[in-house]
Formats: sequence, structure tokens, C-alpha cells
Amino acid sequence: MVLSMFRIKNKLYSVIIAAAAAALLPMALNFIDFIGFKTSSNALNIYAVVIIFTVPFVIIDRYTYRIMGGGTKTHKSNFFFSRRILTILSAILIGYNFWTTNMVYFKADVIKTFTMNFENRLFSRFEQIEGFTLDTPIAVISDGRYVYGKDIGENYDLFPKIKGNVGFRFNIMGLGINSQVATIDAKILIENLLGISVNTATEEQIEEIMKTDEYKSMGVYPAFDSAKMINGVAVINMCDKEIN
Amino acid sequence: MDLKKLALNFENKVRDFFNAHKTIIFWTVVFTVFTHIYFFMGRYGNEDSRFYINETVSIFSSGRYFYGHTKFDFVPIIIFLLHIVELIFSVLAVLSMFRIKSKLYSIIIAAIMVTFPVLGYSFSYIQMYDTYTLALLFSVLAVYCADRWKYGFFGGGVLLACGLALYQAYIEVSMGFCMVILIIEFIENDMRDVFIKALRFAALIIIGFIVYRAGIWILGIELSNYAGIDSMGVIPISEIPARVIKAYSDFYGFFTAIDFSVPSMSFFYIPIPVFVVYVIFALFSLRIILKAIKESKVKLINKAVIVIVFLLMPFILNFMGFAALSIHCCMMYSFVIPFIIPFIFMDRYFMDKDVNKKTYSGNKCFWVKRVMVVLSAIIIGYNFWTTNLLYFKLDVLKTNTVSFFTRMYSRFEQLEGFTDKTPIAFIVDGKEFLDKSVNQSYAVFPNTKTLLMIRYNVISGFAEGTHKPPYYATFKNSDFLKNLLGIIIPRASTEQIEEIKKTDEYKSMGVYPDYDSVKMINGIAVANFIDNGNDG
Repeated sequence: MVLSMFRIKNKLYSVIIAAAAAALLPMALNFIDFIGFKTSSNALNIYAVVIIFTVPFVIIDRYTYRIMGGGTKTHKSNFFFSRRILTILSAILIGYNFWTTNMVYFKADVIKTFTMNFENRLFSRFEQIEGFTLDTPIAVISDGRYVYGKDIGENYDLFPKIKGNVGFRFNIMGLGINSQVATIDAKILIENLLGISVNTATEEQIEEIMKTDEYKSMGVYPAFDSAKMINGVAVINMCDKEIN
Repeated sequence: MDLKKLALNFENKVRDFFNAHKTIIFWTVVFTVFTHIYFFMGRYGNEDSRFYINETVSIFSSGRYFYGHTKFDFVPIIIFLLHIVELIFSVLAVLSMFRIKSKLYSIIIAAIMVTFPVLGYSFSYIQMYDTYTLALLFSVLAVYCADRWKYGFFGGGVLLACGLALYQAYIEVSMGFCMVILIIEFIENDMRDVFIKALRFAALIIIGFIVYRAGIWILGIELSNYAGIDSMGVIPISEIPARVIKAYSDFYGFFTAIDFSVPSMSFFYIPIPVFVVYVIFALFSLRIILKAIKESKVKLINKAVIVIVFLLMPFILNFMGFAALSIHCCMMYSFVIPFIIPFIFMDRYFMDKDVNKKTYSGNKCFWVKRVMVVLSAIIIGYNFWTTNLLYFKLDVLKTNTVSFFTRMYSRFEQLEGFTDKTPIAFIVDGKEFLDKSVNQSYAVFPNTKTLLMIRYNVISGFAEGTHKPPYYATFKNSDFLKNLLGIIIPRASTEQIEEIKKTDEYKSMGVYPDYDSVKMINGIAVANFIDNGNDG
């Protein structure tokens, strides 16, 4: 299109411009990675890559047809097999896209199920603390280094089998990087997945709790002494002091 | 060789094929999706499936060596896509085999085939849920080849062997369709033609068996005694009368939900209105068949043979009930054929082409045809309902079981000294637990009181099959914890469990959910489900 726009008829120039455009295409499609060099690239940023798969069909449609008498379109015979092979390959790619998308959804479903069951057990522990009511603020003490269920990795023999690093990593959700995040995560997940409204301890309350001897003597979840009532807050400890 | 010409010819044939069958393809997809989408949107399975989540035991030893084309590598929705494609070709093969001209009857046959509840029931065995429709396709194509081409029984025999190596019982589908074709031959041709066709079908079955057995021999498979697979076809003479009676009684039991033979069982719940519909459908089918025979110009001997073949039909369709030691609902897909036969006959003998409208209709059996269409709509509706009730029960079963294991594991977690490296043990007397939970009619919304044959409908994971090692509950429940709760935990060995059972600590344990039913013994987290006579 550029060539025809500027009426470039020299074959060498045409080839150079086309080659330059082709070379620039990957950068254009991943431009965010270029201008936001320090940001991490993410699958969400790269939908533009789909254009690569549409280009051959745009070109085929535009340049391998000729208009016959009466306005009907017909293919030029010299691209006969290329067109057919591309169609077959695109069918395979569409099938792969369908499979991989559903694998991602499947993993999201598995993570949700695992998380819901984990939160069920977690909330059951809160409920069993003496003096706990639904008005009692909760706190999950975490430093993000102890990951419950850390052995649940990629490629393990789940039904159906999960193959390859498709989309999500396989961990229970809600194990935040610090106590504040883990506590808010627990509240959100208990509310959304179990339908139970809970209050959370403030950042200051959590800091106070962590200074107490009662907290320091606590075990790490799921140990029997990992859930306690401290300063009127129902606390579950996920911070492995041995790691610290 | 002009490749371009070949490619163009191929394209044209594919296009013509699609254009000729697009209506049937569309309706097959619609009925399949509406009926089965529930199951394929989740990860449901029945009690037996728990055995196989991570194990592929006894798949080969059960003689199903062609199984495993997908295993568990695909998410359920992909398996569903494969089922749709396989069902489309199975339906088209049946329609082509009998040259069905009426679009309405074609759609009805397609709908009956894809909604038949045996299919949904079979899917719940997730260890093999990718095999059934492929076995069906092979079985139908085998007959199609043998019927269509003079020496098609050779290729058909290989296809039949493939079907046998997926799920043996689908041979009944092949045998059933062979019988229907032979009945039509009896009506339309003389005895010599019928005899030749019968020989071709016999060759098909024999070649199928030879190729199948050759596969077993080449792969060196030793057949297990599960469901009498190793002794299939070897029947003591003294047992023949009882097995024949059983084959017939199970056939009628399937449609009436009556236990004619012990230890058979009601496979599906048949409400009285559906039973009445079945009876009317059977009577009208009989009327259609008798009229077709009466109007044919064949000799009396042919007519007599047709009656005999019809009487043999239940036996042929439930051949596994005769040849195998025990039968199962999954083996009964061939029972769909009686629902198809009247439409084949109506299409063949009571339709005239309306040249102006290019449709098939006619005044012969005017009311009978219409009543049959209405009845078939009710039967398709019942199939849809009963299949989805089954899926609903699987969903309830899964939810109940997941909730139970969440509570169960929470008890383990609270034991002093428990970590995620502590082995677990479930001490269960499978039968005792099973007796309490089988077919319980408790009120679930929607009410699942109906005796649709998914047992263990309270929770699953505690039935210990007779052909499984002892303490299998521990084995499969640790798999269940991994797959449904995301907990990877070691399990106690059989020897460790035996040792635990000898200890005084164990003997003083209560029965779950007693407060003292979960304990740490010898470094193993133990949950007890056996009543040792303690009050707890």
C-alpha cells in the first residue's frame, strides 16, 4: 500500500521498503516493551501479535484475486497450493488457540476450587478460636515466603493433565506478600467464595500483635497452635519464623 | 498426476458432502450440545473414576488396547468436540446405510442417537470417557463398509476390531444394525441375496474378532477376570439357558426399570408416563413392521424368518448379557436401535415423494407416522431429562465429596505434629460404608430421589471394589485430595495400616465424625470409619 501510495515503481526500492517494514513489524507490535523498557512484559500487552496471523490472509485476499467479467472474483492460479496450505495451517492454529484458551480457563477453575477449599479450612480454624464471632477482626500474618501448597507445581498429574506453563502458576490464591495483603486477600476470598462477611485488623493492630509473646509462640499454619485470639483479633500465622 | 485437479476434486467433494448433510450436522450438534454440555463444563466423575484419576490400571488387561488416544491430556471441552465430530459421522453413517430420505426422520434418528442416556452414563466413567463415541463410530462404519461394498467386510472387520479394542460391547451395535439390514433384505429380496449378505456380515464379525484377538496376541496382553473379560464367549453348556433368559430379561428390564434378573438392576428411572409412551411406541412400531411385511411380496418362508429374526433381536442387542459374566449400563448403547427401526421402516415403505415440494410424505399410515413423531419427541425429551439428571447427580456427588474432604482434611490439619509430609490413612470397611450410602433418597434440590443409576450419591471415595487392593480408599482418596483440593500428601502403605489396626490407640478410636475418630498413630494421620464398638 505504501509503495502504491508513493507510486514507487523501482523494484529494488520496493524490496528495501518492504523488508524494512517487515523488520520493523515485531517492534511495532511489541511497542510497549520498547517504550516501557523497565516494565515487565505481560501476556495482556501482546494481543497485537495476532496481526501476524492475519497478514497472510489480508495479502492473499488483496493480491491473489483478480476481478473477472461481471464483477466476480476468482483466484490467480499461481497461489493455488499456498492458499490451501495456509487455510489448513490456520485451522490447526485456531484449534490450538481453542485448546490453550480452554486450558487457561481450566487452570483458573482448578485454582478457584483449590482456593475455595483452602479458605473453607482457614475459616473453620477462625471459627474454632474461643470467643470468635463474625464481628471479630481477622488477621493473616504472612511474609510471602512461606507458601502453603508450594508443592503444587506445573505438570503434575492432575486430571486432566496440565501440560506446560499455560497462563497461571499453580498455587492457591490469597497468600499475599505481607500480612496486610494476606489479610485483605483472606477477607475478599472468604466473602466472595464462601459468602461470609468478615472484618479485618488494621496495619497497626497487626504490628502490635507481632510484638506479643503470644504471637511469637505460635506455630505455622496448619499446625494446631497456628490459630489464636490475640488482643481481640483472630490470628492465623503463616509466617515461618524459621525461614526468617 | 495432476495434484491441482485432485485438490479441486477433493474440495468439491467436501463441499458437496457438507451441503448435502448440513441440516443433519446442524441438528446433531444442537442436540449433542444441549444434552451433554453440562457434563463437559466441569470435572465430574463417578465412584469408579476415583480409581483411575492417576492410574490406568486394567485398561490394557481389559482388552481395550486401542484406548488411550487422548487419555487425560485434554480438557473436557476438547473431548466434547471430539465426541461431537464422532457422533456426526456415526449419525451420517446410519442415515446413509438405510438411505433415509425424510429430513424429519433423519433429525429424529440423530436426536435419539445423541441423547440416548447410556451415552451420558458412559461419560461419567472419566477414565474412558473419550472412547465411547469413537467405538460407536467404528462399529457403525464397520457395518456400513460390509453393506456397501462387496468385499467391504475386510475393511469393516478391521474397523470392528478397532471398536472392540476401545469398548467391546459396541459390537452389539454392529450386530444390531446387521440384523436390521437383513430384515430389510428379507422383505425386499429373495433368499439367495439374503444368504449372501448374511455371509458377508458373518465374515465381518469373524474378521473383526480375529484382528482383535491378533492385537491382543501381538501386544502380549493377559486379559483380567474383571467382568468376566478373560472368559468372554466361553460359556458352560449348563449356563446357556440361564444366560439367554438373562439377556432377554435385562433388555426388557432396561425399558421398564424392573429387575427381572438378579443381580441386575434398574438402569434408569422410568416414570409411569414414559413407560406408557414406551408401550405405545412399541405397539405402533409393531404395527409399522407388520404392515411393511404384509405389503411385501415375499414368500411365506421369508415372513416366518423375519418374525424369528425380530424375536432374536433383544438377544442380539444384549449379546454381552449372554457372552460376558456381568453386564453394565455402558454396554447397552445398542438398545437405541429399537427406537430407530420404526423410522427406517416408515421412511422406506410409507413415504412418497412430493415432486412439487421436493419433500417426502404420503397418506400411507398417515396417523401412525404422526403419532410416532410425537412419541419420539417425548422420548427425546425424556432422554434429555434423564441424562441431565444424571449429570446433576454427578455434580451433587462432586460437591458433597469435595465439601466432605475439606472438613476431613481440616481434621487432619489440626492434629498435633501434622505437616504436609505426614502420611494419611483412611481406615474403611468399604461394604459397611457403602451400605449406608448407596441409593440414599435424601432431599436435594432438585430432588434426586429418582433411581437414576449413579450410586454412592452421598459422597464418593469409600467403596472398595472387590478387584482392588485392600485399603484402596486411602489410595484413591489421596488422589482425590490432590485433584480436587490441591493437596499433595503421602499415603500410608498397606503394611502401615495393618500395623495401625493392631494398636490399642486405634482400637479405642471412635467412628468419623466423632471427636476421637481422627488421630496421629505411629506418625500417620488416621481417620477411622469402622465401628470398633467404642462410644466415641
